[in-house]
Amino acid sequence: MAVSTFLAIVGLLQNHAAADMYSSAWKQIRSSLITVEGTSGPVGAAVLIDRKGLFLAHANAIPNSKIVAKTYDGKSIPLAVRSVDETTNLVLLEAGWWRDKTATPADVSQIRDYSGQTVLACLPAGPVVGQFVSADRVGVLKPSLRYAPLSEIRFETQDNRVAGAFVFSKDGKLIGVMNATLDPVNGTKKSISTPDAPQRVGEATQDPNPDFGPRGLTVGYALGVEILKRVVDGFKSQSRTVSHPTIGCFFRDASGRGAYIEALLPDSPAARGGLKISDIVIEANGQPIRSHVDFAVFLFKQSVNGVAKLKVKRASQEVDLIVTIGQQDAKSAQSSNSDF
Amino acid sequence: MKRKLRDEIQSAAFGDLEMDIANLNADEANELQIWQRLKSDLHRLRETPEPQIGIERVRQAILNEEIAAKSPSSLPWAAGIAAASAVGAVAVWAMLQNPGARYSEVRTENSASVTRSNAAKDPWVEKPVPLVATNRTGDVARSTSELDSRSKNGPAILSPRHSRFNGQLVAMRTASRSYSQATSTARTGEKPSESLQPNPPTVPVASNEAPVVIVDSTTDEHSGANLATEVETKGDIVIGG
Repeated sequence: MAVSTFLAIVGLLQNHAAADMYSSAWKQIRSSLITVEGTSGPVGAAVLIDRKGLFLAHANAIPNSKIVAKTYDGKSIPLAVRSVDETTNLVLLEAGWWRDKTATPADVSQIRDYSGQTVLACLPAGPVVGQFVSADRVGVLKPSLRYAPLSEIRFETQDNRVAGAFVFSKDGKLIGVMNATLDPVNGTKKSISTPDAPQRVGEATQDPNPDFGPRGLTVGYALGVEILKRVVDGFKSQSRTVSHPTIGCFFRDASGRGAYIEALLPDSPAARGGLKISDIVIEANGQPIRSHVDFAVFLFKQSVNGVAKLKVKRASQEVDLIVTIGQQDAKSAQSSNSDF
Repeated sequence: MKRKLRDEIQSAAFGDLEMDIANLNADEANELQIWQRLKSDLHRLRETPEPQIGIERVRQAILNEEIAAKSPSSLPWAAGIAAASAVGAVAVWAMLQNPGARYSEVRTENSASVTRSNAAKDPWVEKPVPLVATNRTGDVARSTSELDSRSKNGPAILSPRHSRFNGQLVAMRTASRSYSQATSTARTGEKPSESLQPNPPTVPVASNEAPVVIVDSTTDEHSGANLATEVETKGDIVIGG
């Protein structure tokens, strides 16, 4: 009896400590969050990124009609879309008025590994705790097919309205924005056929509706902190646009020997640099490129107007190329105050 | 067989009583043989003094062992209660030292009681925001989290059972990753102190081993988020850059 009493008290104290930690993080971030209101309640969240009243939100969490949001203490504020990053679907919102000087803009500066840790996700219905699984997911965003680092986060919650939820670490740093959830029907596949490769069609490996076992686990994918930082920096810049590096090509795996160039956009930096269809990129800036994932990660980390020295295999020869990194077109939604 | 006769047979088998075997019937003779075999088996035990191989002595020896074994192990039950009370007092004292963060501020999912329509009004401002929801298949599912009326400062917490379950999964993955790192360290000859940090201060780079997640432009009607498909074999996937 003494042992069980002791264990019960220890468990209670541990839970108490965890609750204290989350409460402290929540107190730190709640003033920077607003809920975007729909016709029947909150439909999304937005987070302050600049004291001037600039907010970041995900397009999925923004209603098409007039945007009105509420602060944590119940005040309503009108919002207008100022810029849209079509690669990530992130949106820059500007408040019609913003007088809360105490609210601290979200901190996206902390880039570290949170694997295995619990995190806070601010859903439209309030904050919940999730499990940060890994930040090494290779995201391919349609329709651009661009690479984006994704973090897998699992929630026990079955309130699936996770679109555009902001993910915070326990110390109050913004570490992701929920972008996608695992498809309940075709969530996991051995392989997949893209429009360019219709000959190999895989089969689903996971029963989407298992008869037993834990249910309701939401597997979500958040845009990683690296791309998030790029978007926030772009939105906070004078142009209010995001600069994603690109060379204008599409590539697939060359069976572990490099990245096979599948297509080139006309007059793209890649085409101007001499890259051709069927080339296999095997080295970039001195780094070996073993697969298309390596090449995608390499391109992601480049800066606009930087230079990439590529070594490609063409027929049986190795050719050195120099490609200047370009910028993906960004869309800015400049508008007047009448949008509020 | 009468008890008295059985006792006599046992005593005879252990040499404590003389008995005329010719007067015994088949069952009694069989009984005697069993006890004699038991005695011979006891003889085979090492360090068993001859005087102890008698039924009374064995019985006494067993009784003495039992009593001797019991006495030192038991504590008075009152001592247990006193210990538990002391631990409880220390715990309560510790909690009172930090009045700003009561356990009741953040509760677990089991206490959810308000419907989701209330949450829809103003989740971060108003009172409890519990989530009693259904999963994607439409089944009524267990409630998952809530914000207590006193806990608008704090988030809902996963239930201990599933937190532990998920934690184990992640711990297994982390352990697996550490093992992989250790293996590669052994191969490459890196310094272990550099490669075996459990949480290095950098984001893990997407690798060829990590699954590819294709994010579709269509959205899931329940989550509102884009639909994602995880693919193990990524050779066919075209990436733009």
